[in-house]
Amino acid sequence: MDPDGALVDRARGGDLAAFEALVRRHRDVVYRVAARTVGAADAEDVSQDAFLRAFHRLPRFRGEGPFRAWLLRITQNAALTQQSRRRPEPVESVDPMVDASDGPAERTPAERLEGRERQERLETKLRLLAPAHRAVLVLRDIEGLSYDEIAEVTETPLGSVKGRLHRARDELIDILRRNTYDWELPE
Amino acid sequence: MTDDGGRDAQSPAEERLVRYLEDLREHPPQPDEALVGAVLTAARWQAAVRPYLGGVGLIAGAFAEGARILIGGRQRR
Repeated sequence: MDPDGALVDRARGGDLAAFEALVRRHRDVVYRVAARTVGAADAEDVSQDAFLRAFHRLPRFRGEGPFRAWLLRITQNAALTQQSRRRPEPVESVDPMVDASDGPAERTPAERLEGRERQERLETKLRLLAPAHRAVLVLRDIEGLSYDEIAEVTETPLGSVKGRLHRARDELIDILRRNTYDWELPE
Repeated sequence: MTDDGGRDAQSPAEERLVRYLEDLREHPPQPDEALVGAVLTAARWQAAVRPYLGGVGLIAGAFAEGARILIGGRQRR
């Protein structure tokens, strides 16, 4: 049973309060997926576009899969549209003096700083992946979606999702190995 | 959500990469608080004009049909 079902039914009938509740419930995941696909500069626009597309398409949503998967599919499409309008982003340098104040308590400040720097670099490298590869990697390894849900979001047969995920990881490993930063990836 | 991402890794390098990617969850990008307001303002406005867009489409269609008949009539003469 879709936890959003009741709200979706009300929103489909024109209830804007129900639609607002859906936006509040899913804004974080929509924004994170958008930011990791197009970068932070365009993530706000893509998120807004995705929610408005969903609002207009709600009457056609049949509820055959979970609402969240349907919404993330729209987000992915909105992100791809945005990317096709833009030239590739230059890979920006990473400021090693980023805020490292919050991290797991057991790490030393130096380890936290190093960890944060690695995360910043990885976010940048993620955007070099082919769009289809980036999508599965973000949905699986960062957002933690199940294979079923990823198949729904990307409209890919379930059997192809795992293969695509491994190819995506291989592509990213390849990119990282060519990088001067030492990623300490075993051979 | 699932937490078994690293278990499907097929090599030590993949396993390490999955761990790095999972670390990205520590610092998720956060939307601006204004996002919800911006979406709802646009949705309200678009919901309000949507019924009239059908009417505008009908009028535009009628104009186009009229123009087609006029131009077609002139060409026949």
